[in-house]
Amino acid sequence: MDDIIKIDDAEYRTSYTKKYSQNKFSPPKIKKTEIRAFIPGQIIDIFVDKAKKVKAGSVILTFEAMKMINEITLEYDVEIKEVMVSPGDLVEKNQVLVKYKQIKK
Amino acid sequence: MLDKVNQLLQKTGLLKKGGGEDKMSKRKEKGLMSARERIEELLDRNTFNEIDLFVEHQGRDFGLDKQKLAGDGVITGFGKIDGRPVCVFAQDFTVAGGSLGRMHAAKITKVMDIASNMGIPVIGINDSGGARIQEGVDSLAGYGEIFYRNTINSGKIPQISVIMGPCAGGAVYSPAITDFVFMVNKLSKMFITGPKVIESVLNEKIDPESLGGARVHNEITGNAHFFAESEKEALSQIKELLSFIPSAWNKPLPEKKPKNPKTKKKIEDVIPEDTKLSYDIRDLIEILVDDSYFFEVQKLFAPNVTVGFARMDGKPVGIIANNPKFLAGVLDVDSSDKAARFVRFCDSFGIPILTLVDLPGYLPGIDQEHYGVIRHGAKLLFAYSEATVPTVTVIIRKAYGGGYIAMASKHLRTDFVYAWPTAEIAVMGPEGACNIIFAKEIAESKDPEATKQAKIAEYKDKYSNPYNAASKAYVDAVITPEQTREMIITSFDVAKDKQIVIKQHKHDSIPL
Repeated sequence: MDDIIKIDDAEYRTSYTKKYSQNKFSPPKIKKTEIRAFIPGQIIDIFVDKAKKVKAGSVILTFEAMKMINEITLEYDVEIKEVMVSPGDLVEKNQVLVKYKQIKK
Repeated sequence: MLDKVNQLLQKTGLLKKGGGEDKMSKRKEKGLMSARERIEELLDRNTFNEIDLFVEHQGRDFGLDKQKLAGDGVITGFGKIDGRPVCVFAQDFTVAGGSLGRMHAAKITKVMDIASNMGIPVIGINDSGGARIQEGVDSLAGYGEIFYRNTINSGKIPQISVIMGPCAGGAVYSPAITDFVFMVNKLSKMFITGPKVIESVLNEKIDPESLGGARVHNEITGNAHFFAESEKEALSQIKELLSFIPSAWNKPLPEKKPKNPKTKKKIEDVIPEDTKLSYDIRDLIEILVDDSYFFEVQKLFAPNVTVGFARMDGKPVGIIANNPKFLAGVLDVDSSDKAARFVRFCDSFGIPILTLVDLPGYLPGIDQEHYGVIRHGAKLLFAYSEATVPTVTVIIRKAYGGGYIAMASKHLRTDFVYAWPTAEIAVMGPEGACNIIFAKEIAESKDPEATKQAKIAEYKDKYSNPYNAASKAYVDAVITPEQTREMIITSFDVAKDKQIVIKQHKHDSIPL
């Protein structure tokens, strides 16, 4: 029992459970410079190229996950910096799909 | 007459071969028991009475009309365990993969109805590939009929599930609604969507065992309550569980001859006085209960709270105890769920509840907060508050803050609350409290560390004891460790015919 848990400024000697020590929880960090896959899936179509300027709300790519085709949009105007995937690609959760720069008005 | 009897015996003999000798012998080679052997192993010798052996499926499509399925893939009936009647069903994987069609489901619901009407437990041995696709929506209707009965029978008769093969898709919900789920290492699998679907849809690879094997459901998800290394072990665990619980909510508890604890362990050796040091609460349970025998439930899941059955003075009790050995015995999302569910089971079936308290509070952390420790922790308060069975609480050492209230405190209408002289009942531990109350004083003093230690010592002396709470009648008595077993037994005896006020509204709305 060599592990320690700190509660209200007091340290208690105990042992961790496997689930506790394996817990890699961290709140999701959303960077406003890239689009990431929020779920594993497949890229269906891409409507942007490098250096293209895109208006808020227009479809950047379509992405199939859970038998549903999702249209990916952004809520602000951007300039596309890099497209990291092609149609047909299988992508993992959190994989970066597109990098962009926000256009400040 | 004789001819007709012989004809019957011939027909039965054929049907009892299930999916045929070929498939049966293949199973045997794999070291698996047949569905019939499982039932025989579970029940007292020669007590099984089968019903609905001659049931046939009514599928008309996809060539099913040309197929005969022995007993429609499930064996049902009633028998005895330790002389007490039970209903049982076992799916037969050798018959169409144990797939569930309309008549298969009707056989199961018939024994469930018998169990419900007679007030006896029902035990389901699950080993099925899932819905019989050829029967279409009839098969789904069959599942629905089972789930509905699982639900309306919940809290009325004990419902026990043992998974002895695959149990996938909608099929998992019947075990999930039942009271206890038993799983066998490397044999049992439970999941809503299997590895193949997960891979095709989400491109994530995982094998069935790591996705939903016995260890996963016992350790991580908490869906299962018992882990066994073999089929035989699981079946004997079921018999043992039944020895602690009544046949129905309104039937007497199975009593045995009272026995003294047999352990040689001594309380003073087991429990460190320094509240920051840990120990295994199960050592204390052994000292308190008959024959020092504790039948633990969900041993591998959220071990920071220990739950299970034991006997005191020959009568079954349900025990819920913080276990400082793991995570300091804190309440967190999983341990709150585990304890709350167990409290509600005991309350449904009239099993008295003994609570042993030693916890520093709730587990701090972003993950806990974001996983919803508030609503999960609320379940435990809720479960204890609504419980009307005899309840006794013993505060061993720490009982701080919300944890103190949640762990069957007097405020939640626990019948008898006792504390040991080592108990510390307070809003928080001395360190935390002093850092708040005397923050200014400590910061402004010449030697902050010395001042802090002095304040902690002062606080400990004044508040870290059971007498403050006892002076306000929040604990009924401060008792010595040696008195404890006798006090618990006497208290349960006093509370055994406790008057219960029946609620006049439909039902509560527990925060799930």
